[in-house]
Amino acid sequence: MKAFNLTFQIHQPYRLRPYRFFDIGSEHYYYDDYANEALTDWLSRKCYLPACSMLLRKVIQYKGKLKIAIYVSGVSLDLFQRYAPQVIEALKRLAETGHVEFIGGTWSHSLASLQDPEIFRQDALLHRETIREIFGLTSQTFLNSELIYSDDIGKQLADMGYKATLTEGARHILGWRSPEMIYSNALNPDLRLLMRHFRLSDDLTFRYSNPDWKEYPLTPEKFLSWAEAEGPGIQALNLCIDMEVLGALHTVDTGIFSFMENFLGHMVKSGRLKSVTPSELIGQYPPSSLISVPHPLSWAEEERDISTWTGNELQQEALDKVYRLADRVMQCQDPSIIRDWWLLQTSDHFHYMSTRYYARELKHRPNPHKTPHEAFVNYMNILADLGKRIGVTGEDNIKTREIEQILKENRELKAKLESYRKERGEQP
Amino acid sequence: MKVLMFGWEFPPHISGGLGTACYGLTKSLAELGDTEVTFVVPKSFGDEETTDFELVSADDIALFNLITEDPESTKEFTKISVRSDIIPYVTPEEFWTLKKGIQKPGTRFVPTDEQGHVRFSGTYGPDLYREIRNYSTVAGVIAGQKKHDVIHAHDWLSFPAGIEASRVSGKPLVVHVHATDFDRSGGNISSRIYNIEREGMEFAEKVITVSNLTRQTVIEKYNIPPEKVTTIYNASAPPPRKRNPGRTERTSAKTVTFLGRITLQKGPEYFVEAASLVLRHIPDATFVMAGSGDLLNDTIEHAARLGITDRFHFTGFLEADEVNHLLDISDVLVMPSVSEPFGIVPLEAMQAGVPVIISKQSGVAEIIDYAYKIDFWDTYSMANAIYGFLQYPALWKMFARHGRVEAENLHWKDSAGKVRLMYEDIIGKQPAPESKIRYHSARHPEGHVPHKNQPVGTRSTHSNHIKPGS
Repeated sequence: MKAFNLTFQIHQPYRLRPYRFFDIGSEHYYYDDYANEALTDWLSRKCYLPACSMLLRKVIQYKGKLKIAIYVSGVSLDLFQRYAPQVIEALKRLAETGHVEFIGGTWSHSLASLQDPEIFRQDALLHRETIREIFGLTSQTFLNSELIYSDDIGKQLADMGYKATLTEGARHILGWRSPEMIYSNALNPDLRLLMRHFRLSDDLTFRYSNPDWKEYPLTPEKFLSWAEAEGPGIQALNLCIDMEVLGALHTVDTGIFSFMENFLGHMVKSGRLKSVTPSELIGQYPPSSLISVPHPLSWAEEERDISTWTGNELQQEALDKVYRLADRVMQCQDPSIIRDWWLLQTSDHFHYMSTRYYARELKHRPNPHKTPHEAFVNYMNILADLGKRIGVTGEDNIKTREIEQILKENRELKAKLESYRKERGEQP
Repeated sequence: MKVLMFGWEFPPHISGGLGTACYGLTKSLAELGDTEVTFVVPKSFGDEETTDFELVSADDIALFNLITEDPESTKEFTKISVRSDIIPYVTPEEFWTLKKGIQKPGTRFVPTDEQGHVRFSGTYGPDLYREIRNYSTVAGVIAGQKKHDVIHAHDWLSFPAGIEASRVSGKPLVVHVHATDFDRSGGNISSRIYNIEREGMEFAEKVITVSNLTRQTVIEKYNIPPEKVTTIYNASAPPPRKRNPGRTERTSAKTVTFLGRITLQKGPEYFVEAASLVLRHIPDATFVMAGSGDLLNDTIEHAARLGITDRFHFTGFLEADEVNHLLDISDVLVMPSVSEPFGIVPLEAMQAGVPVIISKQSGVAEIIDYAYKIDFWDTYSMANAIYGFLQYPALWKMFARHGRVEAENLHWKDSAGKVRLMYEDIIGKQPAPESKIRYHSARHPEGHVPHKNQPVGTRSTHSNHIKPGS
């Protein structure tokens, strides 16, 4: 029987306040409280709370015949704790049913996987800890920020102990192969690749309420018939959408809630799809082949590459600067500095700097900046202040570069030492 | 197609962007081929570049006594008739005598020199209104002499000339609005200028504005029907300067430049305010204000009050070469204009590889992406942008590189093409031309003689005045 995995992503960034250069060195608060509170509140009422209660009702009603997976970023959990604790309660009730998997990911929803393997590892660990603390669950499946994936990232995930990762079933990677099969990483075949079915997922995300779409209006029956489509070798359908699809991207009056409710109901009743969590997929099906992804891919735009966040020199400069602070931050004891540094890594800050002409405005994650240039200057001002707090003068000379290099080598050696000790079974 | 154009200034003798724009458009129109442009200015200095078109100086046009009789010459003769309602005079006594006589209503008296030339200063001096009126008179004469299909007048100074020319020849008039008095005066408009502008726009067949911002002003403040008003953007001048090799690095001096007239319209005080904010954090930055204007002294005092004159340079008005040199040493150019119909200065800076910060209240902001756009009054944002360019090399490089490409892709050719299409459009619609003004000369109603070597007319017996109907 064809398996069906439905994964929701929940992510909201901390919005940064307009931070002028005269604040550098004197003001250390970087966040736009009003925007953060207002948006979190609005999304909770319109989307997260009604969506969670609908899913909870369905999961309980079908007693294990309906399973879902949720990735919720650490940043958004932080936001909820601060501004909408009721969302955390709703997610906890979902976790208690035992039919919802909270899959792993990055705490800060960062691009660390592209920049610094060590930071990426820490980010993933932080997320694992946070999820365990709040929901008492751990997962063997990973969903990287924006579904970014490459061979190297996959290998690292396998090293971290993950058994599977969700990524985009991009056309340029799969070619003639079907996204509805299970593949494995080219460097370490133990890591399974679950391919997001982007056509069906994007039907829900972008097209559902568009009257110009030729399939409009989309009915649960029609959508189910697409999802049930069989073919030779077909194993599993991975539908992965933002939770904001329910109520925020498509408002309640488009009928999105009853659509989802009825779709899930029909699916369970027809019995032609077996609802599973991603971790259940790992053991059930053998991988059909290896997939090689030398260059990172993501689920963004038509190209499905990472140019949305790293495409121009502003983004590269900002990324370079924030990750060059890493070692100094690691050495510092002040938790507020460490927290600020993680929050500054959120991918959205780099998305705002995109100068791509067709850069898609994310309706459910509105951009607080008017232009990419403004976003860049604002971000760099904040980074300059953070740097000052940990003793980085902002000077870019040979000496500071050298210090950074030594610190980095030092850290890498430490990590190496630790892994050798582990191999030999020594206690650190 | 023959175009008769009226302007007020022409490079290199310019006081602002108007002359530059006129030059760019005229040159490109001429280069389109099949379009002959005659550009009229009140006074030319002889050193203008006029390879592809004809530049006519209004003070070379005699209002009378225009016939050279030289049967030996093989040159084509031109007989110019004199309009019946114009009376040139040379001395005040003569004026008095003429004035005493009975004249038709509407007859104009125009002071001339002995050869019948009207004197123009070609500047924006105290006698501006009289110059404008005299210019229009001469324009009528030129319209009678020069064959043309369409008349094009740039800005209110030459609107009366355009109207007059159109009355004489019956050809359609296009007026080109580079700025309105609302832009120049900051809302405190002169009713006299307003009336001239409005009359020109109403009389014209079509109105061209340099941005949608200006188009909106023309529609709302001058009550011109929207379908009559078209936006055709300016472009960057075809690079006459020797190209610098293209800078890729910021200079070490951190020079921030303001380039433009120091008047209310250009918002110099916001630049000073922003500068003082920046200097608190980057004490070694240098600010240059190039240009002169009625607010120059106030601006210097403003800077002195803030205690930052040691980091400020006021250069006064700069010639073209000096401007190029200034751009070469500038790191950022700021144009904080309160109201700027277009704004050609940022384009010149971008061409030179200098990042620009411009106010959203400028027309050029409508077509440029690689310019940091701010509200002119938001000095905090302005300072923040200046700081960003000086401190963050990635931002600077991106703007220097992409801005240059963007500015160079704005070709006058494209704008000229649109203007040309508009000409064709209105000429196509035009009924057979019919002169609205009766000519004094019965023999050559069209003001020129087609035959070679044929003795023409008689030399006027009165050398300095011609009475109507004589």
